[in-house]
Amino acid sequence: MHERPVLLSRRQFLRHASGLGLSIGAALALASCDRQGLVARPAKVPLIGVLGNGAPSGPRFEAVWGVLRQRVKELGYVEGQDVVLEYRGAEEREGRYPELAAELIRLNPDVIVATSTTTAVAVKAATSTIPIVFFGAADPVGSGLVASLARPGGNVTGLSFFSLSVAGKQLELLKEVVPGLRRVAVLRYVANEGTPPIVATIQTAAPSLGLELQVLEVNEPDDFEGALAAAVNEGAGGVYDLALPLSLLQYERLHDLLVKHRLPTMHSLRDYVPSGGLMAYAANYFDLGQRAMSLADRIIKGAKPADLPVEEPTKFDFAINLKTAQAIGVTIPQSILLQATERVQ
Amino acid sequence: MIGRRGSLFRKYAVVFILLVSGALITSSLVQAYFAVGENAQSLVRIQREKASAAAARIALFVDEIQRQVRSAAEVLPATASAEERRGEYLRLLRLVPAITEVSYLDAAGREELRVSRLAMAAVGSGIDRSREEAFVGAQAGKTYFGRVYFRNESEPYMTIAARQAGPEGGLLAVEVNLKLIWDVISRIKVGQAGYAYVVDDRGQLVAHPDISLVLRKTDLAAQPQVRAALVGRGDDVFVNVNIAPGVERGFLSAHERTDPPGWFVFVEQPAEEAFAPLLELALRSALLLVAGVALAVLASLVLADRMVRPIRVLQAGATRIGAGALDERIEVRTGDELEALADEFNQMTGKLREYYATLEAKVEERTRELSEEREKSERLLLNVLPRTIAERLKAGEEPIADAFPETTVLFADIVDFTGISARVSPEQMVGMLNGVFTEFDRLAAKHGLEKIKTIGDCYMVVGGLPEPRPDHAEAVAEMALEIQEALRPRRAPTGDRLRVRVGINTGPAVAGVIGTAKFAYDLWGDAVNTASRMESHGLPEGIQVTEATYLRLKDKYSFESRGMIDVKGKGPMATYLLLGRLDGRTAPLAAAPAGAGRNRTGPAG
Repeated sequence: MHERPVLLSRRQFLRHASGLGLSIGAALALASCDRQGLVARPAKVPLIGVLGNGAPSGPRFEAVWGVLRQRVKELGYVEGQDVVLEYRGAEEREGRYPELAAELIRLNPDVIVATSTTTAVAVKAATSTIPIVFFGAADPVGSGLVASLARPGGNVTGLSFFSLSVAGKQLELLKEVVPGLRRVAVLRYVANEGTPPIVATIQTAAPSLGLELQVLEVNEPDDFEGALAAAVNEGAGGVYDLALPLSLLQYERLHDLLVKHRLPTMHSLRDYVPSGGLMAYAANYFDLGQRAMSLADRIIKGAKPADLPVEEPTKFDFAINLKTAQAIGVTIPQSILLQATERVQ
Repeated sequence: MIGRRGSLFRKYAVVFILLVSGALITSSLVQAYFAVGENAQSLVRIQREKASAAAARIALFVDEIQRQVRSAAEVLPATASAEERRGEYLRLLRLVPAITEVSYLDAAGREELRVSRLAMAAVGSGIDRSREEAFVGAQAGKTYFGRVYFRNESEPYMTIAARQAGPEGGLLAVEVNLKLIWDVISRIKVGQAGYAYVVDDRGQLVAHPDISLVLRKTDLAAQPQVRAALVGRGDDVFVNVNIAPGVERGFLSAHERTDPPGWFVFVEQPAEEAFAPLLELALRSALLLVAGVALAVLASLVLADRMVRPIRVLQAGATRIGAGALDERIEVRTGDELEALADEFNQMTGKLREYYATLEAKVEERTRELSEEREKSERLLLNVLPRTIAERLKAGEEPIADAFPETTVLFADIVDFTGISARVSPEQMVGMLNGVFTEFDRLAAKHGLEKIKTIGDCYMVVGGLPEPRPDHAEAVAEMALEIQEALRPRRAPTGDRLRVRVGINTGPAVAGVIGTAKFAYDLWGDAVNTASRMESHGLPEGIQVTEATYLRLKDKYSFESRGMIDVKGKGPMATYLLLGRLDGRTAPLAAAPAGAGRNRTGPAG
């Protein structure tokens, strides 16, 4: 720090003095604001609608729901007193989203939080006025949720789950784990509107990795069995799991099938790994959920979604389940272990 | 009076209050001026220190990345295999979360390897990147810091590069996601409402606790404090920051440059918060000033009262002295000029008292002298006039002429006075007359009769004047008898016996004082003439009275009738000679004068 004159000039002093006057005025204004605030507490308690994929009672969304509510508490609200949370979940039936979105909108919430691309698209289709905050959407621009990341423009903002380019990285990591990999089965949940751009991305990336893709569409957990059998029949040496959120609902069944068919799999959520998935390279979904609630908080306090840029994830978890690797008979190379942020023994 | 008295107190009080309060206010203002200035300075200094601390943390963040990048660049020789490099760069990505992508360019600028957090690795792509700024700008031994750029027009990034030494040395370039400075910048606390932020050398916002502002590519170059920093004015700027649309507030802003990478770290705090201590100071000063002025006013009032009180005592004392209370002492014990003044007053009062006493004595003396004089003249006057007449004259009554219905007039005349006086010297004659008349005066006084005058050897006295009395005739008769008795042993210087004729008449008369010079109490009327005739027609050593007198006295005195005598100017009148008292207390006249037709009358006769 270089030396600065200590004595204030007359002009500087006057400036500070006028600042003092200004600050007195401001303090008075603030004081009066406080008083007004005490007198006129908003009669209406803010309402946050949440549109999710599963049932609140389901193991997965119980967790997400808990995270969202915890975050609301951390932001200084007392639920039921300062804010009301309304949750609607499709409970395995993707076709119900428009219906559930309309139901939420009828409650005239201050903001609706959508937990995925699909839910966000459903709500956006139903309202152009009620602010929407999404998290877990893969390609918000490509899905038409926002005009641009920096300036969303409409009533929607949120947190992108990952950049599309990450899909290539995921494929690369799968290839690194299984060096002789030639064919990868892509397990795609048809109803998830976030998947097509991802599929397109990995289709482009696959040749440079010497891979060919086999896209298998599933509509319900019962489809897993047939789809994986088909993959094995076609000679797939690994799986790229794009069955969100369907795969979440019966992930144990999926894991069992994958182990049974000895298919090394790259999942799209870190949370698959502790429960038996081989690996996942993804942003922290819960973390995104928390930050989505912060955005919702800012919107309740007057911010416009159009002014809140969509943030892309920067931190990625690379989780590997070594037990599953062993079960499948895969040896995890050192370079992968070097990159892993989480190893499940 | 009260108004005047109050006005001095008011004057003193006003002067003291103005003086003391004025001095107090002036000194307080001067003090406040400097205190505010100093405090403002120290607040600004504190703000600068905060900026320095914040800049140090940002520098630490950048320096850590730089260090890792340099070490990664230097740890492998230019000849290292792609696999070795990849492992090393993956390690770098793992170590430094902010680094999103690591590239290695050979000495010609061709890309040999690219490892990314977000995308697939590129091995031996051979892309010519020799024209990129990092390749052009990076110098051996020195870390290159690129300009801040925005991916997808949103995420702020910066290239940091390190060139390997030697002609074969390649370039290690990493893309740093500056969004991660958020972890640092959001932890910098600047008071309650203050915050720190970072702009690059173009005024582009690099880091801010509100990540939205960064992601929106906010350009702050137009902000006055940023502009001032960019042009190199190291001044603190106290500005209206318009960081959110429509929100403009007074902020105290300080900044510190952190180089590399040539950014400016700003620390800003709402003016009302930054200057809250100043406000508190001002309030405290104002409170103290008010208390001080109140105290000064109180003290002034007390002082004025104490100054005015002895003056009031003086005034009250002077008022009482003025009203005549010369015994008054003014008690002022102030030990100053006022006490001296009071003493002067007391001395003056003493003198006054003294003068007053002397004056009284003199007046008394003069009064006594005057009354003595008056008494003397009074006595003189009373020798001439009866007391009552004298008083009436003094009262201004003039002329005095009182009619008395009843008086008894007596004339006494020395027989053959002319003959005697021819044979003696005038002195002897006067001495003889004086002796006789002094005796007569004594008798007149004894009987309470009024001597009117002497005419030559004739003596005139009257009874019943000027105060009427019922026994005027008796008193006159007594005197007449005592005259004769008193003269019996007397001799003239010639050896002749002194004999007198006495004539008495009773009747109305007018008595008074007339004229203006040598006035005397005199008596007029026929009764007076008749009395004179009684004397002149009387007998030596005899007392001749008229019938009127006789009728009044005949029961108490013995008379001898002379019958009718011819009285000059009156004609014949019956007269009597008074011989003596009937009760015999006094021997009757021993020898009745020789005369015709002497008839003794009276009960004893």
